[in-house]
Amino acid sequence: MFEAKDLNVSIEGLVKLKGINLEVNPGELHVIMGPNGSGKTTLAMTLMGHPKYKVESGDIVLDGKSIRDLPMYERAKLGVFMSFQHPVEIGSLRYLTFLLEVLRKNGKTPDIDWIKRIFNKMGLSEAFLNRNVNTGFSGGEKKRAELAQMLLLSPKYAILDEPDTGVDVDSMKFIGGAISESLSRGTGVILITHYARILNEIGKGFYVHIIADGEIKAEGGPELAKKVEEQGFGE
Amino acid sequence: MESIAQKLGMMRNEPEWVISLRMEAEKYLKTAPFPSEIKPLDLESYDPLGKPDVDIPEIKSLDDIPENIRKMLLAMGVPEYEWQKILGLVQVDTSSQVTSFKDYFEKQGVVVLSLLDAIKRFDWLRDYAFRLMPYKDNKIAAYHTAYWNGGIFLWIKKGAKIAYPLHTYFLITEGALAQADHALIIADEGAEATFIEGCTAPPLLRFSAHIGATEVYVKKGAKVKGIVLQNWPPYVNTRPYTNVHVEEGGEIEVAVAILGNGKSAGRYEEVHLKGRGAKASIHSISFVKEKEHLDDVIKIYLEAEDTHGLIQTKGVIRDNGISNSYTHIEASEHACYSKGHIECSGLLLNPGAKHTTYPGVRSVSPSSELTHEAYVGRVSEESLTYMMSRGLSEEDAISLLIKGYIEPVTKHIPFEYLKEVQRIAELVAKGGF
Ligand SMILES: Nc1ncnc2c1ncn2[C@@H]1O[C@H](COP(=O)(O)OP(=O)(O)O)[C@@H](O)[C@H]1O
Ligand SMILES: [Mg+2]
Repeated sequence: MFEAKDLNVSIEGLVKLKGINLEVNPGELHVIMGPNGSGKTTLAMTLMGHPKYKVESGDIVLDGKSIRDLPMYERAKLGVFMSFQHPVEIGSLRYLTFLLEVLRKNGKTPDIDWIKRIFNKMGLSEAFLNRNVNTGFSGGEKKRAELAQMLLLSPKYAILDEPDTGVDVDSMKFIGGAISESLSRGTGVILITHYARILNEIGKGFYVHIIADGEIKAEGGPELAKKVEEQGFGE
Repeated sequence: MESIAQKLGMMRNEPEWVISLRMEAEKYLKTAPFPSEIKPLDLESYDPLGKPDVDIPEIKSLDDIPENIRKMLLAMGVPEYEWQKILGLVQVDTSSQVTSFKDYFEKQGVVVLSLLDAIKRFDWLRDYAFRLMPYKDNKIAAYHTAYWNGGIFLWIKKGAKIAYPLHTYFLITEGALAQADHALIIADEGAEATFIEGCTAPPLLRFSAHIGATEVYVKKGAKVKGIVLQNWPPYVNTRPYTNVHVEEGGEIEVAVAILGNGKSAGRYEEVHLKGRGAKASIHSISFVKEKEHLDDVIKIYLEAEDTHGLIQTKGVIRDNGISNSYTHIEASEHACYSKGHIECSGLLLNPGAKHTTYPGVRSVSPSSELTHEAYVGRVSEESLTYMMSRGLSEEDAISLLIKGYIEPVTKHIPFEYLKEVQRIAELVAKGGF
């Protein structure tokens, strides 16, 4: 189980998250929705361990052990994955070189054919592997590549920060497919999204958490997501 | 009064033309200018007839290796059986290994001789040796012509195609004993060969100044590939000088990895594409660390129709290392329909590191196309964070960034050396040896 326990987080001294509680079990899908600036990315970054996001109190627990004080890369190695809302472009590093090293560091045998297959599955041709990391990729291509990494790493828990924002209909299908596959492999997924559409694509049961002003304001099931999409976040 | 140059030549029983060339160069030496790009070295303060000025114990076995060198070899992961060669424990003249090497390549059309033997044996070498670096060009060329000692002659005969790379590292011993060793390489018409010069570990040089020079002739249709690995020991000032001439349809490709710069290094390399369709591409990576200073000069002259020149340099600089990269491609009025491209960049690992690029192109040929790009970047925190979110520690992330950054050059380096080059990249990422 992956848990946030009464998390209070600040960025540069300003409080951004207040009393967040979350429990995610293997294979479960938890959807986080909320207006812009409400703290969704802050939550994702905090769970992943970005040093800029400071945990003032509360705990982050993975399978019964606190990972609150572990650096980001150790959390990653324990099986926590995050796909970024804005994946960075690294102009001098080939995607394939990057992936091979990442897989090696995560104790996986790097197999180029397998990497190619996963990329193809995400609708990305092999040519992307020879390009520099995310450099010149379209919005949708960046997000698909993020999820290709998720499929390669098979994390225990994946935090996906708006994988469906700014992507076309085709990308949406690939992304929905990757999430379904990960869920069925037992990955617990925290999905930050604005749209119910991706949820239809995944077509599975899920939990919804509504966040506003750094607090969880409402929780429920699919019906809550539907309501939010129809009526917005106003109470 | 007998001049030093004359004395050197007489001592070695050299042909008359070599001795008089030495003496001419010696006269010119005082007033000769240093190449403007390169940090001057007080060459007059070195005695060309003097004894080695570096106190290195005589190395008879692996136990005699100085502690700092041992540490470096271990850190780099150089296998022990290689140490023997690096440290000169294999004697050039007596080693059966070298003899069989020479025999083996002789059969395939490669002549390997000490330069001294070669110029005594082949009188026609008077048209080749020291002709590519006229002593009037600059002080390094003048010093070299006047005071060269030691060095090799490699001659790939007409049409010989050598499938395996020619390692010249067993000749390091000879170079290590000399202050100004000279290499002369001739790839005859249609010949094909790959050279590997140097090694990833620092040789134990016995002079605190090292002014080696290399002349390369790539004749009609010949193809030469050179892999140059340099790791100068920390007490050395080096000014290696190379000049290459390529004839019609000839090709030269050079990959240089400068792994350590000693006290100061000033590399000067010039390629002249003399014949129609000649091609040159030079790729270099350099690691510049604490207290090091590198001037890296690469110039390609397009002097005939349909010639192609490419220069790609990449510097990784940390601590307060200083790296200057001078690159230049020039198209003469004969260089119709020729192309040249320069791409040079630097990656700075911390705020004190300095990298300056001076790319330049010059053309008097309207149909030629010369382009250049230059870029100096820092390791971005955002990139590091992204990589760390995938399970890489900060150190791992930096060394992966370096690895990726130098990859366009390292792909030209043979596999067996690549591991050590990458190991050095990792050590640089970590902050040194
Ligand atoms: N790196 C940062 N530095 C300073 N303020 C930040 C940073 N990241 C987010 N914030 C602020 O924290 C609040 C929550 O932002 P964020 O978590 O990105 O919202 P969301 O992802 O829900 O749109 C916003 O007020 C935002 O301006
Ligand atoms: Mg966000």
